[in-house]
Amino acid sequence: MWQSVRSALSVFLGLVLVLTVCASPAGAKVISTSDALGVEQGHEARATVIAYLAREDVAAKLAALGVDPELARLRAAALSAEELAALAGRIEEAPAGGDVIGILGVTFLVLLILELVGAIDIFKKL
Amino acid sequence: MVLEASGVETDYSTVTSRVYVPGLEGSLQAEMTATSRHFGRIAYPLAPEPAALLAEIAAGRPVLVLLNLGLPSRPFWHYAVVIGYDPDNNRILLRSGTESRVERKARSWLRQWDWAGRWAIVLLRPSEWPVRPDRARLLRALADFEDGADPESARSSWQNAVDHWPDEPNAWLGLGNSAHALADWRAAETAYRRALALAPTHLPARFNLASSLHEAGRSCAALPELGSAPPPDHPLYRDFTALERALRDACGASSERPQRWP
Repeated sequence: MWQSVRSALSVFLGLVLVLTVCASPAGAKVISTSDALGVEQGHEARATVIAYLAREDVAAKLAALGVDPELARLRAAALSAEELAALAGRIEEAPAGGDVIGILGVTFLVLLILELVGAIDIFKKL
Repeated sequence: MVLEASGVETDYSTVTSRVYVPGLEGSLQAEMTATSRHFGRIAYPLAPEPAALLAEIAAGRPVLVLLNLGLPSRPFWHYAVVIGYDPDNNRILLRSGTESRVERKARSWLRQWDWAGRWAIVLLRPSEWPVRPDRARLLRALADFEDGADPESARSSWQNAVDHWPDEPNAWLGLGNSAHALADWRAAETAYRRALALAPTHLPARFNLASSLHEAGRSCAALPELGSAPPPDHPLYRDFTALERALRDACGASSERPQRWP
């Protein structure tokens, strides 16, 4: 009886050992294509928003409104991928060139800032 | 019906039981696309343009659309299948509910489609290609397909993608991932390297190449491929540092001969 328990046990332990050794490099995983697309788009959107905030005219406007541009940058970096994509989309729609402080630009900018400092919650609803 | 046109044999009740969400009237778009993946078809959303829809019809593919038969303020959602267009009479031909053929004036149909956000999808076999492929949208559809389909189908869909877009790194990444899922390390490595040749800074491709080599027991060779981790605020920072640690441990412990790198 004990003999058979012992032999069963040794077979079991042997199996565990074999499995452990075989499985050692496993657990390695790859990033799914879906996640990879998300990372890439998220990264581009982040870069767009941060580049926008770093522009001289935008930084000046932020300062005039009493918002620390560095704080705005940090808040932008903390937004989720979806929020960033929505924001980046808005920035690309906004008039390019020198006239960012035109009507659309100002409205957008103020909303962006208010959103960034957490005063309102508009962009999440986009 | 779109499934049948795409060559899947099924019956209405099978599909209905899969897409019908109890508690909601009708079925959800997400469920629809998930169901098509289950049946091995890629759900490709069309551009919200009548021309895009008509192009697919002309290619012989029925298009699944969402219609609003009510008003914008009081919507009544309805799925229908566009099976044809009669330009002489400006009529849209539909399958709707259990009716196999309904003709509707193009204008009133368009309004119903407009009021439903112009949602339209076609179902593609892994070897099929849409008439007007939009790169971002099709890559997303293929990636979603990869998440739900069996690895063999995912692999043939990505093979089809790299045949059409040999310059698209994300298609090579997808091909590598599906080869990886089938434990075909050599094919995975080749595909990841193609992605990296096109986009040397493609972090997911770098990560996956290293991870795949690691899994194939070549942890020491994987280390230089992984390269340096992205900055800490990058979403992949943790994955990179964790894999680097695993590679160092495995490389140090294994008898795999460390390779020399210039």
